[in-house]
Amino acid sequence: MKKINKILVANRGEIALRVMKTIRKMGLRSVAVYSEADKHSPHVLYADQAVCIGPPPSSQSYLKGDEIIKIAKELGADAIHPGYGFLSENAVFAKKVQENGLIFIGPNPHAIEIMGDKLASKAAVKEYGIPMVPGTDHAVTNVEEAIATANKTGFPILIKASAGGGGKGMRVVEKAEDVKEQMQRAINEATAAFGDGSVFIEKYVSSPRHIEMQVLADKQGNTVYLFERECSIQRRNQKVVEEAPSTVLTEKLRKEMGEAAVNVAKACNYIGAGTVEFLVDDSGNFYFLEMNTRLQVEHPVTEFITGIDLVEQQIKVAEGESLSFGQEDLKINGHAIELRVMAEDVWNNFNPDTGAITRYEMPKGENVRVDDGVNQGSEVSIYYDSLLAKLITFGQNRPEAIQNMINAIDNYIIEGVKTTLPFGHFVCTHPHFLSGDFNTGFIPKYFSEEIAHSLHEKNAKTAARLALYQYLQEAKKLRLPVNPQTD
Amino acid sequence: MKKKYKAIVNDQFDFHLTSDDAIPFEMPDSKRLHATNEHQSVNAEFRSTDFHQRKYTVRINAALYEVEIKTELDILIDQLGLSADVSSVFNELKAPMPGLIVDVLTEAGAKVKAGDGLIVLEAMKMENKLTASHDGIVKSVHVKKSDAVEKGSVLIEFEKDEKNK
Repeated sequence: MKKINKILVANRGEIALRVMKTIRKMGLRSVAVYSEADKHSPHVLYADQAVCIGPPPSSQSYLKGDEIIKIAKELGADAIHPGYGFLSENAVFAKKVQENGLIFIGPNPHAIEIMGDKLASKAAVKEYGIPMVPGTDHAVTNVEEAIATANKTGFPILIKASAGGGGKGMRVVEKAEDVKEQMQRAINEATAAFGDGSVFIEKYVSSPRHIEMQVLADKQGNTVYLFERECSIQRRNQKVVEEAPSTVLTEKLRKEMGEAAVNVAKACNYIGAGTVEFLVDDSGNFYFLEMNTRLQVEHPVTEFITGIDLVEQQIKVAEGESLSFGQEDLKINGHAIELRVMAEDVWNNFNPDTGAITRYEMPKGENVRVDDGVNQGSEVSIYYDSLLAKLITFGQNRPEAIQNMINAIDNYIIEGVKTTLPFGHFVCTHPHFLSGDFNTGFIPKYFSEEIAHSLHEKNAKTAARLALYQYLQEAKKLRLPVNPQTD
Repeated sequence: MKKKYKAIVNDQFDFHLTSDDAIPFEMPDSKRLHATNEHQSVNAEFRSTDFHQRKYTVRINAALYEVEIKTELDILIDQLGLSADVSSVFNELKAPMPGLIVDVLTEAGAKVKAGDGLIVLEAMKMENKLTASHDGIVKSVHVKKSDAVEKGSVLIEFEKDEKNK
């Protein structure tokens, strides 16, 4: 395998910048690609070379795989790092990169393909005895079979699209009468969204915890797990706050889940950094959900508690180096929390917000890490997802990490667009988060639209009462009557 | 009798207050303030203050609140509809979102009626017709076809005294 000297980063925003920082740290060169909307973005300014690949829409820029490969070859890059999203889990792209004599920093295309299909991934891991949510292991089109399965597992059931993701083609069914109609809807949705109408049936685990295991594998066949990330605080199936380690894993359970994750990776001959997602129920049973064949948004919490730079490991593994540590060398040190800072109005159903960032001040501190992709003056546009930055804090223990997060949120100034910072504050001061007693039902239960609205109103009133005091003080100081016109 | 005030927050909430409702605070480091409300310490700071406009921006638990204080006289004037200083909301048409000007349907000096189309703005792949919120006379148009505009930028200004005609 050839040595990597120059890497094209086929992504934008915070992840592009984060990957380039490691590239520079390793003494390598980076190439940025960007759309016309991102001309002045930090990732473009930071890279050693940068090439504009088209107009703002992703389909005309960041998703143009062939164009990106062409640029990589023209500029003499040895490898392409896909980040997450965009082309990162596109097996066809990964294959083309290799066929063009470049290194794809990620798993082999075959692994992407298997894990990208829920039924194929279930079939692949079956022989390793990985616990799975009870249900069918093949596509179902027959309503009778669906009902029979449901009667065996018990209602409610979940009808899921095999090619699915992001909640599309997914339906919860409470009773047998509804199976027929809901199944047809799921099939229609899946056909429309993915061009593949295969659905399967699973028992519905209500309000589980979402806990995932980070794995790392080299080409020599060594695979290790870098412990878990707790990702239960989600809105619309998307994570907002993540932490490591989880408050509910015992040493025994951690080892069992870690070993299961390693087996999932082995089942598809995985190479590089990957994440195996599990559901964990109230009784501590865990079930394999899926494997994400890329670097995960929330990877920094793992880096904090293990001291390992995952991007550096990805690059080394891609070059053919073997891992320099084994499972027994890995230890959890301290606790880390991440808040996804997104341009969203948390008081209004997390609706996306756009506009220019008029003021931007980052929090500082030894135990604070900010992975951001914006700056003062940056335009938050309608073209890409709303993630502006990730705020990650570390502590010797969980309470310390949480307190550091509260302080960091206080010192993080973003004005011009609404952000999820106030939600981060809400979570980090919520009794159920502090006690560790929460699951994926956290937002629906404790931050419903009604609750959010009344909190917002309460804050607004406090603001009004503070402002009134300030006004009265100023009026006194200026020795003006409080209301000049009445004097 | 205690003086009465009205506080408008984020153009969304109205609170009727008296001077007794003011929460006293100290500002030891001239930034973060120290106050308690119902025995809870308040995590707040002023991001901006404007005594003359009586506008204050307060950050509470990382969320921003823009407060406008109205005095009794302001409230009275508002009620009588005599306000000489028509709120800027009525004086200007601002872009509600970033986008591209597809068409300008009016010009300086034009008389417009509430509901008349003024500007067509393309944003998020949709064309949005921006209409007049009240009757008035267009003072100036700040944009032309195919300009890109930011959220909040002023597109059209209206004559100020039109409301009292």
